[in-house]
Amino acid sequence: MKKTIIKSDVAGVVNEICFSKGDIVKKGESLLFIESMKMEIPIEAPFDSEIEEIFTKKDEVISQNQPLLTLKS
Amino acid sequence: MTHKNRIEDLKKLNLKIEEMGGSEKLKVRKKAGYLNARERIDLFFDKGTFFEIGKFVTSSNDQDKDKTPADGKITGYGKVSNRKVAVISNDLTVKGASSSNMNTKKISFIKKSAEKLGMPIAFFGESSGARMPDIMGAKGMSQAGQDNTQYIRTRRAPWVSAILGPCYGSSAWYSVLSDFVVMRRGSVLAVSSPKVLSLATNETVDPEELGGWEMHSQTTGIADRIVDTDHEAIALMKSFLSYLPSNNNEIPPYRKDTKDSLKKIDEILSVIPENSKRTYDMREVINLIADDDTSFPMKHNFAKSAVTELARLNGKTVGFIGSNPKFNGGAMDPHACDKITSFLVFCDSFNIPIILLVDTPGFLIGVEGEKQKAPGKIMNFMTALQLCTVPKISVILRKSYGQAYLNMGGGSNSDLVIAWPSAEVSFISPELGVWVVNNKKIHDKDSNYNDYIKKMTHDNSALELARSFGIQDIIDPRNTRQYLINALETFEKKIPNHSMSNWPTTF
Repeated sequence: MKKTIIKSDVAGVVNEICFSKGDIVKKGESLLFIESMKMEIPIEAPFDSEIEEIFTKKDEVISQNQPLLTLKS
Repeated sequence: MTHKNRIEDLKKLNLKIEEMGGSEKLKVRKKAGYLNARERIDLFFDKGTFFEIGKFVTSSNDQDKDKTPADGKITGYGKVSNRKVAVISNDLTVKGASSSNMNTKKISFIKKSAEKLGMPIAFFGESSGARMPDIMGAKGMSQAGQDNTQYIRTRRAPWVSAILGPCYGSSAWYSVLSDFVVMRRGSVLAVSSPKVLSLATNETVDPEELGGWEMHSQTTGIADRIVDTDHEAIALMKSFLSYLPSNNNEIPPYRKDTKDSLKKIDEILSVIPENSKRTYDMREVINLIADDDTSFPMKHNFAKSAVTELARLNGKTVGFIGSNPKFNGGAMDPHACDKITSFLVFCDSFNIPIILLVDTPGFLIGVEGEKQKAPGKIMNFMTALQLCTVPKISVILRKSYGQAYLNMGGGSNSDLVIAWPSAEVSFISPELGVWVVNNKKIHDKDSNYNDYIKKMTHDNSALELARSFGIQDIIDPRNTRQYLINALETFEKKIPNHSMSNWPTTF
């Protein structure tokens, strides 16, 4: 089993979290959206996996490279 | 000795050289699924067109004479789709294809002749670096560096490289000097091998971590494309060359659009979300505009907020540059600037017109970017754009803000700037403007806030830009393909200035 930490590519505000802990996600699905530079930027699942942990919540201000969640595959 | 005997001896020697480092080593490669240096050449060239030079060169050390067929680097010329191309193929089975004072002469000959004749060069990289012990000591080093043009890259003719095994030293140098680099998974490109590192710095490192495919496709951007086999790598090298002229005095070859590419463009409206905060993939837009199945991405896993792709438009090669809202909302970071700069330099050097597709909220700002010299990178990009003398056409799809507006061809930085009705153009958002000028945010609940916003809000529409000739036309997105075909025909030039042909390949 592989654990992968997903980090934010950009600084911004968490606009929407699309899944919960334990959910199964498919490659390319939007896991959450970060509002930054007047855009809603999706953070996508890099591969089919399960969401093990979510470190952030809606409206949280996050910095670039901040860990957002862990995926289990 | 009779003529017949001499010819017989020559034949035997030829066959012996073609056995390279011996059947045992070749068997091991075959089992691992790797082509050998000669098989790669055969696969690359049109059948029967390869002719070799320097085949009888060996190590200058007499004791290695019989162990160094072709001295580990096979060189010559041939044809790819009936066009002349020179080749340098490293033979790892002969002393690790290490660089010696002899095989360096062969490489130098190939490079100089190819440049003089206006011929691309293909490098099959797989080499352990400088040959030891030959290079050791003062005497060894005195043999090095005898060609004072060895590492000059003038971009008179294209260079293509495949990284097909360990690439250290000169094999790494020629790869990074090339216009296109394809890497096979499992190969490594680095200054020196993990073995050298382990003693020189006591650093123990995994080869993949030192210079594997992930590093070079995602972090450094040195590898344009990643493949699993030698066959795929060679096919991509040939495909890349099909978009390019043989040299910078020619225009790229024409390849008739055999499909009805105009039909699919109607889908373009469904790709672009009407809500301008929502993202989409600019690569889909390129696919819809270009001739069917012709887009050829460069550095496609690196700095994804920018897209750089070769493609054909009505049979002619063009270079698409786009900001990509799918990644970071299309806000370009310093790596994205590097990616675009290198593509601009490349297109300008080989007479490839440029189409800029713009949808960016601005450059990505922040501490990370500043650490990576963001201002310098933005200016490299801007300088390259302004020095480009191939035709440049910008299409503003939605957002175009701030300095990025200029970098993406705004103002007079393209020959022609057009926009879709969904375009919005400004310096920054009104909220940011009020914060900078009036020092107020919405949360401050200042009674004048709405007035400040009103003063800062100006018409940012495509129509307003067109009224003041900031753009030359507004078009229906579904006409984009046909408009660009017509515009490129109008703005077509003969041979551009090539002011950037000496621009470094990595920066």
